[in-house]
Amino acid sequence: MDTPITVVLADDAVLLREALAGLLSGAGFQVLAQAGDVAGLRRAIAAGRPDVVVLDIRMPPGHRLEGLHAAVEIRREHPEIGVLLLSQHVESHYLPVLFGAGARGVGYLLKERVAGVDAFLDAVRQVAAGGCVVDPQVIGPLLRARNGADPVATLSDREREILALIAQGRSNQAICRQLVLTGKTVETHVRNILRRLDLPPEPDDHRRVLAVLRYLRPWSEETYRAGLPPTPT
Amino acid sequence: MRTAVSDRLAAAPPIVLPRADADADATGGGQLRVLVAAGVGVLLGAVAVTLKIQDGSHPAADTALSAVSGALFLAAGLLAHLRRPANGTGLLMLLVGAGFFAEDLQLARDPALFTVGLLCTHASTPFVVLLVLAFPAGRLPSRSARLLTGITFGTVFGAALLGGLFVDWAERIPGKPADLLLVADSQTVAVVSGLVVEAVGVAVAAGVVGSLAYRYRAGAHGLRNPLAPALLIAAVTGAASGLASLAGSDSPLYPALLGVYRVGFCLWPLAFLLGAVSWRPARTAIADLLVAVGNPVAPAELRDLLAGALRDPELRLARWHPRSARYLDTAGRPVDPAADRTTVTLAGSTGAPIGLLVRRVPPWEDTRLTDAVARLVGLVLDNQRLATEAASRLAEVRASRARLVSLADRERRRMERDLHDGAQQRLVIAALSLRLAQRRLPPDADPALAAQLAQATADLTAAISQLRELARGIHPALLTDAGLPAAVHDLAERTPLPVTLTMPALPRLPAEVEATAYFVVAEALTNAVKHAAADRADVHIGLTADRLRVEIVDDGCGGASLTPGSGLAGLRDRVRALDGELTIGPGPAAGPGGAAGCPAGTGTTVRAEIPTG
Repeated sequence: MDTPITVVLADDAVLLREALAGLLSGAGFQVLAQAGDVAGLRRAIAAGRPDVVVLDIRMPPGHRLEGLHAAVEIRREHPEIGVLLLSQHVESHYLPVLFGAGARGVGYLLKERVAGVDAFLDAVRQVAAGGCVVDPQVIGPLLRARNGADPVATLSDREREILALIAQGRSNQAICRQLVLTGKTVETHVRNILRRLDLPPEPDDHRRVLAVLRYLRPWSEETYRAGLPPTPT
Repeated sequence: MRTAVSDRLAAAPPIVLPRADADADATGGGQLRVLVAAGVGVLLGAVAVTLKIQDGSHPAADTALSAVSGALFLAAGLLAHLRRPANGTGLLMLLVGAGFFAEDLQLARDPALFTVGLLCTHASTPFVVLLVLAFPAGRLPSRSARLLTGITFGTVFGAALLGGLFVDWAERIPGKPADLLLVADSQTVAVVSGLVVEAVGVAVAAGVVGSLAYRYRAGAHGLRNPLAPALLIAAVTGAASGLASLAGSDSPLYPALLGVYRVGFCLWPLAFLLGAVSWRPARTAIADLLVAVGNPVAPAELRDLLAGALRDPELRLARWHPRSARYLDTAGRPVDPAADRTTVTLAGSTGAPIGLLVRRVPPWEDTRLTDAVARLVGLVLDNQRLATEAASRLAEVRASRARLVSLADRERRRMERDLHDGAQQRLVIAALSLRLAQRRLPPDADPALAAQLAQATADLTAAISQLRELARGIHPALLTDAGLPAAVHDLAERTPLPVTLTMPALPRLPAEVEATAYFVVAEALTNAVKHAAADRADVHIGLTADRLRVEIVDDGCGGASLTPGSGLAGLRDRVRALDGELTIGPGPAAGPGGAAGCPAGTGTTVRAEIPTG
């Protein structure tokens, strides 16, 4: 890798932030700056235009959703910067807000995934490269038992496994590698899944994620937007 | 802890309670007296009328007028007694009637009856005086009244006795029977006795008229009207009697004055009866009050009711205020005993003074009226006080319960945040370090050490995961951050059952309301999965103007209960602490869609209504 991926870290938990910085530096990333709050994060981005921002959903001063709002803001103002949001809990509720119009260069992971090291570093790379990563914790419940008429219930176990990987933003090639399947098999499964769920066979990975999530989370966006605190301007 | 009651007991000044009823036997022993008096009166009346007719010397009109007068007193006395047994007026009227007829025994030809008749000369007069002065309470109100009555009795019966002893009627009036008491005939005694009787008659008439005038003038406003007819007739009759005595039987005015006296005398019982019956007796006043206080009355209203019932527009009602340690009236002014008014202490159910009644008590009023009214008003005030205390304590308890819920919620949010900011971060760092350490193990490292590190990492990851679920169970961050609909959607997603959600876009509600509703849904869904083996569940959330309704229906085997210690029972306490209610019932008929192995018609509905104010 010629040029290292540049990262800005934002988390008010200093010890963890330092540990993360150490992990990323050790893995060949270049940590441009660390911030303890949203204002510091804004300054860091203005100063250095990183490839990716890794930030906590709760930050000072309110410890509510400052990180989420900051993520949305960065994605709106700097679409080229990848945003990886970490949280103690990952809630499908925030996906529509975080994703907005698209699922490009965005990730949403449980904070403890950091300890997975390789998977975590991989996620940072994917988001930096414009990919989409969603924690299995979010996808799992969505795939679980729904009512009997639900097409998800008619999928085979293998197909459901692949659907979960699609929702996490994996490309067909990545799915092949992970499940040790041939490219053709995976392509057939994916076509079947998209057809059964009546989803357009989108070529683009992040659009595919969006479509799947919209399908899995059918309730209207207004409902959850209504519950959100107003986005700071 | 000192209670309000003990404060009051300690602070309220001891004031002697209204005295016990002085003539409580008026209804019991009085009954027999009245019957005897009525019987004697009727008998005497029959004898008197018979004698008058036999005598033949009286004009028929005169006979009829006497008969009617006496009979009216007897009838009115009986009726007055029946209307108001506790009041002595009825008995006194009977005695007037009996005495009036007894005077006519003088017409008897039988010596014994004649002698009795002599002793009953003017017998009705002292009873009339007694009746007039004791009206309307049926009891002599003052020392002067008792003195006046005593003088009249002494003079009339003394003169009659002297007449019996020293006047030989048989000699003076031909045809009269023998006087059995006769000692000697004495013209002097007859003349002196006649003069004394006349003089005393004038004095007593003046006294009675004066007393009536004084009472009429000084009496409470309310007592004037009902007494007016009786007092007017009494005054006119008394004046006529006095003037007649003054003028002497030779005066040309005498027949006219005597006529006035006799007609007035005949009208008296009617007027007395009218007054006695129209003067609202204690029982009526109490009964009216009882009916009125059957509905809640404001203190000012109660005062007005009392003023009306007791016919005392200036009546004041005060309550004991423990805080200021004073009796304050309905307008908030301190009330002190007034010299010209009677102050009665009102006692509550505990006997402790709780108020004052300051009123003008007419001197001839039955003491039982004040007594009964004091007890009644005492109970009403006590009741009001207890109701107010109970209401304020209830409000206090409600508020403190709601505060407890809200406090507990804040505490749970804080714990959740502490777990997140503290333990969780540290554990994640530890897991990261372990994983990094694992990676730095040389390839030839002890496999047991590698396995141990791997196990430690796995345990730590599991611990972090459990901690996360623990924190969510303590208080879901999503609920705080995004509100009830988001948190309920999340619950539905996590529940391993198909859950349909029906809910409007809700505004943010008070934190304790949102949390309560959330925990109700969470507990009901947990029950549906764990205990009822349900196949599906429906969650309905609705918001009315002032309450949030939450309903969770499943098609499981039922069995949810509110037995103490169960999760739902705890939640019901929580809901009730916010003044809401939680109920559980069967689900809709399960039918073919019901969970396998369940009898039809089971399922569970958990319903909660939580006020949002």
